[in-house]
Amino acid sequence: MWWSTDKAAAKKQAPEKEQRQHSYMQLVRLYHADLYRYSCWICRSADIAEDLVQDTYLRAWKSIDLLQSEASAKAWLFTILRNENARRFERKQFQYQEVEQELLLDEHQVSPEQLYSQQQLLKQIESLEPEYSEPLILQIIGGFSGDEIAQLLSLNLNTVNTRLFRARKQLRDLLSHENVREQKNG
Amino acid sequence: MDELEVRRRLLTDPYHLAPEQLQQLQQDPDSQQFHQDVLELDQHIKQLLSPPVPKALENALLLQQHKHKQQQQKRFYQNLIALAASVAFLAGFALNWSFFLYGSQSLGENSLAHVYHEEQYVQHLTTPLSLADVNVKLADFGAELNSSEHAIVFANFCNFRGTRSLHLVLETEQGLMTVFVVPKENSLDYESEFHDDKYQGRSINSHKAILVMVSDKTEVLQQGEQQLLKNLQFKA
Repeated sequence: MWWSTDKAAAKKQAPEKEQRQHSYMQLVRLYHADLYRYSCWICRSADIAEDLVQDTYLRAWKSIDLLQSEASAKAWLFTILRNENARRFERKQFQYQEVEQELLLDEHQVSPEQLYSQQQLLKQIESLEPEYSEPLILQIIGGFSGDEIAQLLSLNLNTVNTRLFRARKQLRDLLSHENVREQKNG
Repeated sequence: MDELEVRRRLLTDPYHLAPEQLQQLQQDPDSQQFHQDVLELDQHIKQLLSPPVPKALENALLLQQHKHKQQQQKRFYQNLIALAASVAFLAGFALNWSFFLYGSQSLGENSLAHVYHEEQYVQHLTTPLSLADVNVKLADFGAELNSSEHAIVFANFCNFRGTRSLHLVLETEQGLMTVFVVPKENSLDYESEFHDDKYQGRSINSHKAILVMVSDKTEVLQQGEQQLLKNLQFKA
């Protein structure tokens, strides 16, 4: 009878809904901190970063059925965040800001020397070409493998590996120069 | 693997090491140190780029999903209500319209309306129709006229509120009499007798159809009824 099939469908639907809700909560718990950090890096603003993370999760909820597996969830969220960020750029011409120092550096917990070296390091990272810093940040903050980064950035693995290598190499060179100069000055 | 390659691979990805890399690291303290340096710098960067996560963020994210879900539900119910309202409106409209079109009407009123409608035309009819012609039409209602003492001057199908009926006009010595043969399945309220200022009418509910007779003279009706009952036969 027609109502019995309806009922069966409704019964089937309920756990699916719960499942979806559960998945969403898991996504929030496990990944919101990493997403927020990455968001801070690409937005350079704590407020925008928070908005971006919220937009990301809203979109994730709307299309949560597209999520293939728990294992790919993090990369999936990062992809959404990158897309949302690109969308934000489309909406309005975003002015590229200097990294907000107070956002990224916790001034109260470090000594002046540490603060100075942190500022130096930040400057060095900033001085890297975006195509080099991008995969590096994804590896360090996101904890992604080379394959995942390649997929996220739509690059092939060799290119990603080369860029990761060059990013670290340049950073080390810059920092060692800095040290040499400091030693000379000192 | 030469040293350059070892370092290149460590700089590329210090987190996912291949078995041969691990083996090499165990054997070479310099490489181990290098690996540690790389990890240390990464750690610095990670700390540097890890601003405290707002405590409210997690709850805000959970809440936002909840709100969105509620909104969707609300929208669903709003749509449902809108749909119900539309259906109710249409139903009301249709009902009104049907009252306007098909308001309750009695057999008598409808018959009189037909008579008035044909009144002018019927006056000029003088040519009697053959009994055979009339019987062809009557056959549709399972009826047959054996003979007719009066001339039948008009025999045509007409529409009794959606029911196909036969409109006959008989010419008697005293005047014209209209007879309607209406199937029993019709949408009108049965009336055995009716009249208005000019015409009188009378219905006979036979087992197959309703016969309605209308005339402006009582005696015509009486005669006509007797004649009809005598001559008109319904096939079983």
